[in-house]
Amino acid sequence: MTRLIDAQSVCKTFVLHQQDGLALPVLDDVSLTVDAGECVALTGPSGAGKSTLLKALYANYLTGRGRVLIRHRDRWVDMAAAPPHEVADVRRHTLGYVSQFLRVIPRVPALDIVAEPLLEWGCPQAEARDEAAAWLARLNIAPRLWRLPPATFSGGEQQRVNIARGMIAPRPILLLDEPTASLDTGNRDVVVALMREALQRGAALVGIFHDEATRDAIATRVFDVPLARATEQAA
Amino acid sequence: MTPILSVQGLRKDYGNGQGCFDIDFELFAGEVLCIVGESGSGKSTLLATLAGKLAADDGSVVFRDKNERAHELTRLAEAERRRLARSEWGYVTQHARDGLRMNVSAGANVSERLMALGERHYGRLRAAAADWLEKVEIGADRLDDKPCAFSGGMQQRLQIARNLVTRPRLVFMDEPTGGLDVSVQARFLDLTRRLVHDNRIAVIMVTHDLGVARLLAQRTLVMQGGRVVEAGLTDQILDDPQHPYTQLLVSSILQA
Repeated sequence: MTRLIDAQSVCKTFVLHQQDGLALPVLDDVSLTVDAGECVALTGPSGAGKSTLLKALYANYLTGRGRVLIRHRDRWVDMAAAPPHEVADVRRHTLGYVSQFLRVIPRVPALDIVAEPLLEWGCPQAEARDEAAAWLARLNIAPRLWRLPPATFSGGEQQRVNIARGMIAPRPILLLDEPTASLDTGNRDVVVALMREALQRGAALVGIFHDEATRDAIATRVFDVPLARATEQAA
Repeated sequence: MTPILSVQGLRKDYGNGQGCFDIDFELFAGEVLCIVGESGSGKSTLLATLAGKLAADDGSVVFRDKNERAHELTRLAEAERRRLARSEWGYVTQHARDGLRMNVSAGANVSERLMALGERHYGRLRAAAADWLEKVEIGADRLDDKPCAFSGGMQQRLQIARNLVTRPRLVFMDEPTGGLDVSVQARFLDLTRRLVHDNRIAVIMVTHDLGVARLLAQRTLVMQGGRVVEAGLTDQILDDPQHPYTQLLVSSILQA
């Protein structure tokens, strides 16, 4: 199997300068590898650093020590050390991220929010919009909402728009932070089916799934994020 | 990929501790970079120095034009700087009166740069101006009105049309939404975001609003006391700020 993620000895400590330099170690020497076609569910108690690990893989959080290697265009890129425009290229083409909450862009309709990743791939606008419409329909967003900016949508609707945006461009790796958190059973099943299809095309998935039914339905492996040592005061 | 702008060791020293110092960064085609920081942090000084409006005291700013020719902006003759400023880049100011000609029509404001590049045909100039007014959501029936009759939001959108009409490679923006109401600001930002993306224009925007940076910029520089204290991907700087000053800025954002 092709290895797509190789995170080696990742460490992350938050230093809060406004709290007299309080240091909060969250990840301490965490290593994780993921192959194509695998879905790894991150588990551990609240505060163990599941989200932090996911954000470190995406280079949304900087890591202290360790390497975050992502297979990008047939070579390894260390997300912890790559320059910004390279990280942006990895995110655009290789590494997708589906968070729980949609970051609404004022005035931009749901259809265009979903189509945007395809446009960034150079897909013609009409084609990207058709594909976006198909995704919104699959995720049970009523067609009368497609032309509206999602600011006024319900939490569940916003989350589904976000899932469509995060998954529409078939990237080789998908990071998912509680993608089914506020969805009803029917929509949860749709999202599970979408994740299964991603696995079948050979994608690697890493996710946080608090809902056990979803985890059991999709995870091929569980990774228990180890707790870092207790809080210590910086010098 | 070669950057369109390479800045090394740039310094503008006003002599009283004010100015900007040791500035290094690169900008790539189509990239949007925000410079954030409080008043007096040197961000507007940096912008004006990059664009050659202020003379640099030290360092280098290399700009690559449409034909991949490199220009050292800190040593450019004034005539050549003006030519580049007309054809290759734009400058949107916080106060419309600094960026527009208030006593000539909106249409003339938009077509001025086209005329400077040699277009003389009245019909084509007028058509291009009408087209760009539509693009920034100003009705073509306002073509002959003077900007002083426009609202603040319209004036800023007119500045965008006036600057983008020649499809420059790079646009400098100095607090373009500074004086606008939030609803007016949203329209300006959405338009800017779309036009910049569709025309693959790189932007360096000075703002004190981190929300604006989050919405528009892939990359952000944080300035304090004339120096860049933190630089990186915008989402990383806002979600995991490292420097004490950036942490203070981020923790001071009001949640709506």
